[in-house]
Amino acid sequence: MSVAIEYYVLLSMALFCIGLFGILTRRNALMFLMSVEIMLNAANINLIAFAFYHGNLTGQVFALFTMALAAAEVAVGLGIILVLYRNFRDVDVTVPTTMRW
Amino acid sequence: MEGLFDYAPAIALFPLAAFVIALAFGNYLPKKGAIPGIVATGGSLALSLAMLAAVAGGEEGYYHDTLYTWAAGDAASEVGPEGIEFTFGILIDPLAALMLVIVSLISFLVHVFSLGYMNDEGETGLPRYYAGLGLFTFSMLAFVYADNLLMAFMFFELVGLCSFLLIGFWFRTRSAPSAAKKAFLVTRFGDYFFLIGVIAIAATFGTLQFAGNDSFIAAAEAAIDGNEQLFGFGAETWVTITALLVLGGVVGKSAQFPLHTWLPDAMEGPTTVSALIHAATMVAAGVYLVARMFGYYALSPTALAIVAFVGGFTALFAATMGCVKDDVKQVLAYSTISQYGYMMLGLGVGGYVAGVFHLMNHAFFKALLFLGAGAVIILMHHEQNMWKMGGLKDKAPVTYWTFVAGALALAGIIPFSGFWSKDEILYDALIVGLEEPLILAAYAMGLVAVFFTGFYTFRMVFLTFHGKPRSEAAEDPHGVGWSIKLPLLTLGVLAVVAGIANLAPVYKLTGIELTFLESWLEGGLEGTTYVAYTELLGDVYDTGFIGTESTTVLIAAGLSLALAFSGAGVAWKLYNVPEPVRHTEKLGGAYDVLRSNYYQDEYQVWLAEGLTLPLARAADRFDQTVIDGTVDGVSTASLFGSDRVKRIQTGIVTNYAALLVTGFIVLLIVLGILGGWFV
Amino acid sequence: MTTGPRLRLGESLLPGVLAVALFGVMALVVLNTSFTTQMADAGYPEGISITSEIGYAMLDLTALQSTEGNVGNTEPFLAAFILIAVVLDAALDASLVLAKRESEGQPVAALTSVSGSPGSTDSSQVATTDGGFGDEAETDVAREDASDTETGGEDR
Repeated sequence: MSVAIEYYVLLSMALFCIGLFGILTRRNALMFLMSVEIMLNAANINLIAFAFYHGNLTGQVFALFTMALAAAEVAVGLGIILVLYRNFRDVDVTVPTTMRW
Repeated sequence: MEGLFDYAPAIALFPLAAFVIALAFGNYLPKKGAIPGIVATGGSLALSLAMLAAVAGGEEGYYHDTLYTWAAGDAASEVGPEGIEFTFGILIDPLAALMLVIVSLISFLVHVFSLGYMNDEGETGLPRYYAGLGLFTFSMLAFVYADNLLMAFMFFELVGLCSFLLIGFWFRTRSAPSAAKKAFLVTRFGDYFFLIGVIAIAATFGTLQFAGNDSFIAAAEAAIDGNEQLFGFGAETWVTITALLVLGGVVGKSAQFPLHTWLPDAMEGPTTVSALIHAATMVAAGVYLVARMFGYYALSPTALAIVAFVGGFTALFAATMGCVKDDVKQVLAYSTISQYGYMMLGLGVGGYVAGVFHLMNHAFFKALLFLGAGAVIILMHHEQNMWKMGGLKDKAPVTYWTFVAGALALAGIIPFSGFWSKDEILYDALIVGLEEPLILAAYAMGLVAVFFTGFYTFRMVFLTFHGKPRSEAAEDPHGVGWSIKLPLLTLGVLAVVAGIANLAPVYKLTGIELTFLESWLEGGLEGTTYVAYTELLGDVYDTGFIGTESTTVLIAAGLSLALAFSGAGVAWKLYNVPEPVRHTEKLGGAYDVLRSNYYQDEYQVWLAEGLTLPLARAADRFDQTVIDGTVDGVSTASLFGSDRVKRIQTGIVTNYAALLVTGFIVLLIVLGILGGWFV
Repeated sequence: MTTGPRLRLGESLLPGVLAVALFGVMALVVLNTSFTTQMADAGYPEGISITSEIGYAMLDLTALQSTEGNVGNTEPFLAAFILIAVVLDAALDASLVLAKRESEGQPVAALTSVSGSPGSTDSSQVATTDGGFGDEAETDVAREDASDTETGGEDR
């Protein structure tokens, strides 16, 4: 007896919205990165849940790939944060507002 | 003989070459370009005479060839052929051959005269002058032998351009450029209607040929016979409309009322230019065009009557103004307008031969008078006011006698050339007028104008040559050379004898065949001959006689001769005295009106300033406010909008994310509602 | 300067409402969706190792793959696997490029501050040499990380 698929989806959505909440409310760039990680993992939950739901392994493999790409994304993200810090002496995302009208 | 016609294009191309040479090398040539001009026009004259002989001696009696088709296509014409072609072609029939000779002869003589008038007087800018003359001669000759209406229109415009350039020759004065502009604009106003007429004819009949089986004249005749509907009008009404549109160009170019105002001002140009362009040839282009497509006008009695009435009215109208002018060239200008009025009257009453005859005679004697006036102006050290002349008779006998010959011809005194043609016009008008009251009115005006013609002509002669010298210049005239005397003598002889070409009254009275011009014009292409026109006119006009034909001829001739003599007599009485006074001033109010040219200039200026200018201003305001306002409004709105919208770009990542999420939520809700996901 | 993570309440939490709203909408959608198959009917057959099957699929070892149930329908992922590996490498290099900066034509280590305290020229020099050294070290670590991810993704 397993848990119905709806609950997996709801869980993943909850996780996604938590990550989104972090992005919308936080100002620290590192917190941004973490929030994005949470959202990616929400997607992973979905993938794995549906892989189980359909009985094949495609979703699971995909979740692995997602993790690898998340690592790559974090690497680039950290690089950006470094540049950010170097240019503005801060990792607050509201400080660099030069790319605007 | 037939192979000669292959050289026909050269008639026009000689002066074109002269134009190029004068323009390019004029400054380096002796006489500044006069020599190529004289050679070229001489060549044209020789070729034209050869053409005349070829037309006379050839079996067909005409030459018609298409040289170059520059556009062809399908035609959506009402009647006529499916395809339309725009071509350059040459049509040399008796009428064109005659006109070619006239134009090239006058042009040749004017070139020779220019040696004395322009070169010897040390004018500057002579290459420009001779280039203008060359280009004009080219355009005029090409216009004359154009075989279709469009080509005629193009060269019609080109002669107008040359007229503009040459009137404005002394462009450093104040009056000449303004006169040039006026001439250009007024004639262009008429040409506008002409252009519409050309398009209308092309759209209606799908052809613009003057002659031959596929001419628009033949097509129009067929349409009228077939009672066809053209653009919602009856065929005859439509022919009348298009004929009147073309007449607009004619009225402008031949200086007929109400577009005559440019011609007196055009006297600002050199006198030679006045002689060539504004008296003998270019102004004749309008009348020639009517004669060229006479078959078309003959299809419409209304158009013919309008031609006749406009002509008769202009003849009288201009003659009265000529009576009060002080400037010798102004008098001649008004007499030119008046004489072209006669030609229009002649053509309008169906006197095709008479009109062409007067055209020819007028070209000779008016060129003579203008060149004579040019000689007088040289004699007088460039003084044009007749009140400062006088007594030149003995000091310049060649000028005097040739001028008198021209004056007698102009006044219509027997047996000079002008009498024969003018009398024929008036006779033709009379016999038609006896049946048609409108034509009778036109005839009456023409008849009264004869009196005024006699008066102003001899007023001019007496003031200029008789009496005592009234200025120092008149006492000590400047001499004139052979280059001035030669053209004067040539034209003087022609003015005296050209009348022999068509002694119609003599034929009608005695039966002696002296109507050479009439038989000459009977030749040519089928449909463009005098015989064909006479047949057409048989349907249009009834003719009547007072008693018999002979008495009518005698009455008409007697009336016009008596009036001419009385006009000349009055002038003799008033002005052939040692110290003439201004008698015309005694006319009081009428004098002021005449001096002011019936306020025609004021009226036209009012039309421009009081009517057109506010209209243009209103259009400009509409353009500035509504059109520009709309365009500006669009840009202002988008500028303002973008200025507001761009503030979304705060540069803060969180805001972008919030916007993204908002958009996503909205999208989700919309899709959910549409897709029923919430049910 | 943000010195560390701080919990902030008040107005800055306002955009968070959007996240909550999104969750509400999505939850509504999910709860209104009827999934045809019950989870009980799905799942994997007994007696096969999921991990090994994932490995076979990833490396395209079709011959070893089990054919029971839907597991046999798993697509081969070898090309994607290689591509991801390359992408990961590229991302690491990119992060290094981003982190590095140049001072007077010389590459300078990522974490050195330019506007240090007065008289920091010396330390900056040291930092440069250190930085070059540190660069190497970092790269090595990153490599290790990457290989870790590639092979032992499951550990996370």
